[in-house]
Amino acid sequence: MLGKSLRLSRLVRDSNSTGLRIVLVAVAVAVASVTSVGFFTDRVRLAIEQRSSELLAADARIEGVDSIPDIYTVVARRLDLKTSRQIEFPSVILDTDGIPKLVAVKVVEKNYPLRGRLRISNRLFVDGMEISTLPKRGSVWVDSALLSETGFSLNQSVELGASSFRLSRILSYEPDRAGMFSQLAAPRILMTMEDIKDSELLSPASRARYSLLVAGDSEQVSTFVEWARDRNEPSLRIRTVEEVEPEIRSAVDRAANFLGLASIVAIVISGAAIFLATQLYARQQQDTSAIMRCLGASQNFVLKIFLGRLLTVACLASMLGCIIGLIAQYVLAGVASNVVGVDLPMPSLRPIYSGVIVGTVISLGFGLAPILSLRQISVLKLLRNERYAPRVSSILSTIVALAAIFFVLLWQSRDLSLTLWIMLLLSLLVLSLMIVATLLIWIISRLPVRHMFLRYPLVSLARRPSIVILQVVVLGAGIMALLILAVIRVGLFDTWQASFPDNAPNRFVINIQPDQKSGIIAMLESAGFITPTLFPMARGRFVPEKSDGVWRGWDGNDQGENANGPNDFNLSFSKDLPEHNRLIEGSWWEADQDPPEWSLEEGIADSLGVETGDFITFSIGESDVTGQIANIRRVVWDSFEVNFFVIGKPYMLEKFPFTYITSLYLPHDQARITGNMVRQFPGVTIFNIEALISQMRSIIADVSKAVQYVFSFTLFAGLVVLYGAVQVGAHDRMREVAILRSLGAKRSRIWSSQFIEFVILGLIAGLVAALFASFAGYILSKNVFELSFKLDPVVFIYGALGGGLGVGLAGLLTVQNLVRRPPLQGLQR
Amino acid sequence: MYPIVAARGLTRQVLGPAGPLIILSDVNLEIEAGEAVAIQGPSGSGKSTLLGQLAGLDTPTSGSVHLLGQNLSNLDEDGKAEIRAGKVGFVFQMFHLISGFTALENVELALELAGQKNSRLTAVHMLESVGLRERMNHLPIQLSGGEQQRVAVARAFAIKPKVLFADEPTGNLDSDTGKLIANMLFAMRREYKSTLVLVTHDAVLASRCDRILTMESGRLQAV
Repeated sequence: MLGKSLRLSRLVRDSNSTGLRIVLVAVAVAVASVTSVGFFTDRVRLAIEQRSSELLAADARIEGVDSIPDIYTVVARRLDLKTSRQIEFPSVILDTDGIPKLVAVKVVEKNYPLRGRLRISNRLFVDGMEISTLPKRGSVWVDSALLSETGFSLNQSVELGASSFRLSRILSYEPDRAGMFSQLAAPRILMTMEDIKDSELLSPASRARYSLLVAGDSEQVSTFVEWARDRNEPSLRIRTVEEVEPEIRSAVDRAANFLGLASIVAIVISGAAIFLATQLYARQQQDTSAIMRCLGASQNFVLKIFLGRLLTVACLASMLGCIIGLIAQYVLAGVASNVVGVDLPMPSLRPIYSGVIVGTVISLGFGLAPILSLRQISVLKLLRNERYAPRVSSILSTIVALAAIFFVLLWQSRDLSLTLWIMLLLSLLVLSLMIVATLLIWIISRLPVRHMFLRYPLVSLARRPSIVILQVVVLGAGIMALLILAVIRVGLFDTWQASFPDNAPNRFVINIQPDQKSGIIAMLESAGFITPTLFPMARGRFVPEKSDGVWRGWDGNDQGENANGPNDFNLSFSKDLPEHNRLIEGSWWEADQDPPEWSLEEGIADSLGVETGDFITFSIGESDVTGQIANIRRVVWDSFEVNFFVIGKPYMLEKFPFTYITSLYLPHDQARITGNMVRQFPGVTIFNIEALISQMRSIIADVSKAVQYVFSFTLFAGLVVLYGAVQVGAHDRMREVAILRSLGAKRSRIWSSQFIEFVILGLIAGLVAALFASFAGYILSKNVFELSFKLDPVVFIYGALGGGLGVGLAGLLTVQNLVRRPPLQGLQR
Repeated sequence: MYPIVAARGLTRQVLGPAGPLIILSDVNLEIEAGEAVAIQGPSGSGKSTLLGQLAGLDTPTSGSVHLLGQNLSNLDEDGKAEIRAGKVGFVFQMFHLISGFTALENVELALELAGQKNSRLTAVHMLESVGLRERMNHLPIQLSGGEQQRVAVARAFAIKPKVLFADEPTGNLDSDTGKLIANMLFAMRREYKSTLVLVTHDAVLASRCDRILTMESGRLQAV
């Protein structure tokens, strides 16, 4: 009997019910949002890993100041991994005028690069073409800067050590030279291992950096990295794809967080729509339920029938949502072509299974209570033709809905504190909306309004408290969710925009000697630049401590700065906490007073396994400087400003040799100043990060587009809620519109009174939602997105206007349908 | 010059599962001002549909209806509403009161839609005249069926209608209450000189009218 009742044909007939149609659309929207975001972030992460591999020119690198022990190569090869050795060191050549010029020599062997491709050309400063070979024996490839700065041209020979090399090609791109801090400042000379011995360039005194590049199957690479880390050799540093480009990762992580939040918001809004829709469905099915009960059906039988239908619709909608999500992620991938710009494997199937689970859980979580109410239909009341709405237990609804949201949020975000925050906010919001709605009804019912134009909508609101509270709560939750996204999205975009204003620094000037400081400042000021901030910088080597037989110190998780060797750091000193830095532990210091103290960036503190209160030592020149860690800083990496992992008190470091570093924005028409600066201040090096910035800009632009696109899902979910909210009580509304029409009311009169009624609902819901959205925006901006937050009164305008007008117009659209029908239809229903 | 209510070749057809279904077929009738006409017939014969058509509450498939001298076919829904406002009253079997409004507000609403001033005073007077002085501020759900129908009668006559359409006004009431409502209806009709078009199964009630029309399968049998 049960199976028969659940026949698909029966379901199709049910699907004419507005309630089930809304459930179908709401579940499909939620699932589409979850799956498209899931697929998309999956692909973006894969893309970033591929990009990062390119920036390492490998999947992992072992680096050291001495030759990498052969055991690493042997083990890598045993794991079927490709390997390639590499040596980098500074050297000097004489330019055409006989003036010495610092160069960065890179010696590579076959297979280099293991990831990415070299590009070469015959002309200066062009992109060049990809090539898979290396310089021939006796020749080197050099970058454009070397030719332009030394006066050499292609095919000329240059003396390097004991050998002479032909400058055969211009090296326009090497994949592992893209990171901002990972490059040596001097122009590049690329040669092969075969030439290095004869040249006698390398000596024990050379400040060489040796690398072993490794690439291959990702599991084998992980095994290799794990094995290498287990060896725990403090003189070696292991770099993997997770550690490169903190700037881009930071931006993409924020975007991924936002996309995750957007899909969570879509789920919450869709849940609200499902709750409304199942209420509608329960109202529409109360006659059927009552007749079943009259004919002897048990409460459980009735429950099984309607629950079965709800679950069938949820499954169908989940499948539909998965298909939409799959299509949508292709569109997203197209939109974000710069992020997902490389050939990628298909995303995993996890989003599909997530989608179906999310669809089922939210359908049950939000739909269970209204469906349960169908078991308790009063048969007598229905037989006496008394219209009444089945009583839905608000406590049960709330508990089941909150449990469903909790499960879905936790499962999707895997972040208990974020989940608890959202749960707390939602509970407070629902409670506040209920109080405000009750207060509204109380006030309205006491307003001495005489004019029918106003009295009809006000009385309509005052006399239907349960429906009004339901509408205000659901609309409020929907509007709040949309406003939160809007608030954070603005903050996110503002931060990104602020990171890359048109005048974002595009040059780093390093190696400025203290006696050159004032000259450089004067030069820049006379060229019309704002006085730049010069940051002092000294080289120091972290001195690992050995305790209990274990080295405490570098664990290989570098974040990219100290490329000159393991444990080598650029140390800075400062009286004040630098801009773009935030203290997350400890406090800032009294700069002039003892004891000696360090300030560490949080990632580096993690990598070194140290915390506030620990004593650490850096070796600078021949001296060791020990100090206590006073605080841990969080650095905004995507700000592109000069940042340091380690900062000391000025008196600790200013006695050692140090140089200055600064960043500045150089417009194209002033590019010449770099040449003048290099000539006037020997030793100063300028590097151009314009390519990196423009790459970041395009990635951010793409991610922004993706964010907008996912935002449209939540907007659509919002519209479904709106539709559901105005459909609540539609049956009574239709009858009343028909009565008013039969009494001679004109369309305009009905429209205006319905509009006022819905505007009041939307306005109240919108204002409360704006208040909570601002609060939630503050909490989430600070704790999840790490964005600066400022209260924007515009949110209240959006909430009030969007809520009032949006709900008002939606109400009008519903009523428009009713007033067009001949009144007899409404009276006969 | 048309009579106050007239139908010419009135046909109403709807699309059912088995194809087109004719509910009214070529109905012609004329009702003069001040006349009381009863429409009788078995269930499903098209009585209520005819009443709805005559009052402009539905649109015919073909044919025309003239109400208060206006051809309803030439008017849109607003035009029809304008004719009804203040001139046409209704009493329905299901009462059809606005559920959120009190008895007093329901009567006031009709007066305000008719553009009448002092609607509160008139509404109070009307409710007193149907014996609901004590129940004026009750919502429909707090009133019995008979009381709700008395509110509907008060609402219908408050505007002093030229035409009153009543669809089974006693159909949902017990016989005593039905008689009470019928007496009120006819008394007020006389007082306000309204034309009455009454759909009923009740032969006694129909006999109180000037003329009885009978519907059979969507056709008017005798005029």
